[in-house]
Amino acid sequence: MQASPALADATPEREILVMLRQAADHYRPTGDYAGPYGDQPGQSGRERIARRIAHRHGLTLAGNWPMPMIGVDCFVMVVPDGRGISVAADEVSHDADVVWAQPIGLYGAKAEAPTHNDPLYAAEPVARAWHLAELHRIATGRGVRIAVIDSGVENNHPDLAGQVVINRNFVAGQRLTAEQHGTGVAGVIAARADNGIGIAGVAPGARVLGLRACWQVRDGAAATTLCDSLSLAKAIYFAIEQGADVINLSLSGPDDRLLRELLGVALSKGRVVVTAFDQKITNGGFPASLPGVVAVSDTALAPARGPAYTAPGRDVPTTQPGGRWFLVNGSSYAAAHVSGLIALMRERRRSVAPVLVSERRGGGLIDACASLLRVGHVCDCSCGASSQLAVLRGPSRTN
Amino acid sequence: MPSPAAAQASGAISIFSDDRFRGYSLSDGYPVGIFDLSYDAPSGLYGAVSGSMAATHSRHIEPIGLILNAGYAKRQSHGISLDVGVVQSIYSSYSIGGHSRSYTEVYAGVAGKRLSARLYGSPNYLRRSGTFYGEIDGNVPLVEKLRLSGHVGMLVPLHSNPGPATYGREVDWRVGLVRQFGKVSAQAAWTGVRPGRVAHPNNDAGRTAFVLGLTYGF
Repeated sequence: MQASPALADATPEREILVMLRQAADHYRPTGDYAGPYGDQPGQSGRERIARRIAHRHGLTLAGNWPMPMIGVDCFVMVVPDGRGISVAADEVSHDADVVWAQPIGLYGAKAEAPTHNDPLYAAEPVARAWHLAELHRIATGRGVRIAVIDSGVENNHPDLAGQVVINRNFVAGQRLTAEQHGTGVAGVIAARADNGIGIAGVAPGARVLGLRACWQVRDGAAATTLCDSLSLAKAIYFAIEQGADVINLSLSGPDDRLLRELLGVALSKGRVVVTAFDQKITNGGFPASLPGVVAVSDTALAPARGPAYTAPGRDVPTTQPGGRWFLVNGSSYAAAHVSGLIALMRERRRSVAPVLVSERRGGGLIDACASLLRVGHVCDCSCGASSQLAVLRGPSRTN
Repeated sequence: MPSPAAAQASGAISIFSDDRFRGYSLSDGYPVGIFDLSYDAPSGLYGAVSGSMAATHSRHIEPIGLILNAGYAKRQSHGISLDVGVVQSIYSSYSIGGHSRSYTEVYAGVAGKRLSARLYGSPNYLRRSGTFYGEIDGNVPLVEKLRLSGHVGMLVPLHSNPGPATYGREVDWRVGLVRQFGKVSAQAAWTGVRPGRVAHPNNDAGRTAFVLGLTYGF
């Protein structure tokens, strides 16, 4: 879903992002005590230029976040009241010292409000639709790192204990806290299996990087999860640096050049980016519209045609803050299922980009078992593509 | 990748407790002040000039050297930077003993996030004929704004010179900490050199040293 005007108003600050070019790392005559990326004179020079730009355009410099991987230093500038944020970004974009400038976009998580208070109200949909236990005989995602870029993950939840190797906050001015959406997505992906409690994640052998770039507004059934493009950019950058094999972005919002650049780098490095597809928008919103990204929609909501894969996203039991479990719905969780599936495929073959087997090329209903078998493992499981798709189609019609 | 923006100029002023170059002191163990000016064009071309002076025991200010540098650096799609260039170094008689000298080096390097490597070649490095110098630098963040840095380099003469001034292979190293305080970075490093058959002409300051420094960027 594109950020509505109401959501746009929820942006905490009137800020824009101003990108200055960051030259490639190179030789410097003075002893290189700082080492690579220790470009102190260059950094100070860019700060001086940024202050000059802010002064020229009547803005206030609020901070910066160097991103040498894409060759920019991202400066945050505050737009004064009474002036349009988009107008200011457009004006600054034309400054000769600026590579580009953009407003900070606001993103909404693609979850629907919980419908029940009963933990584990229903069995996990993928237990039937994907024959999850059979898949786990082939792979559990061992050795695969999945970045969950979302709201806060409860890393000491009994079903997530030991699964979250990094838990970090990227939302400015807020502290790391456990929240519903991030904890739910992490549970779908990597909740512990065979521990006698809760659920089994799709990839219980994988490890989660919990990267909090979103924050929860309100609690319980009225909970909404929002993110902004700067927090997302910081988290994506960190995920790339940390070598995450899969980047899960269960969210959607406006097209954003900075995020596009970073996700382009992730894809060029062979990382898999999985995101939620928004059916209310023709191209599924951003980042679902980005070529190379795996866009996933809830099976029950899937359009007849479109560039998205579909996976279970209805009545999904998963982990929630406070050591609880809950039922959740939405394409956020469909995307989380596919992130887990790709982790299983990555365990079997790390060097090749996984190709999902589905009812049509590049989209539609996913055949999880056939997808996993295709990456090279021969097993005694019986899940031919056609029969599996037939099994999968059943629940989507009845739910 | 980003589209071009205007060229950027930057500079820095530094003070160090000793001016160590490839393990040897150029300031005879005395503190130095260094200025750097650099220019980065959108095309990837860059240039820099650096000058240094030492405060000696007799409270005189002695010029140490002047370094002129030009090169070209390009960032690859996977974040690695490739770099080629040339350096002209002019050192005073104070810094290297005897007469002032200058030499030219060309270099090629590759830099990633944590590591960089560079190979230099010179037809007239200080008092030697041809030399190659290879170096590897690295840095590891420890906590926010504090990182550990390391360096190891090897100087290899291409010819063995007859007579008393014979130079062999030399290995220099440095390990240190760098802490950012806004525009200022503070450095502390332990550095040294394993000399060749005949030591550097200006080795009175010892073969290992603890160096402290401050750099202000602008």
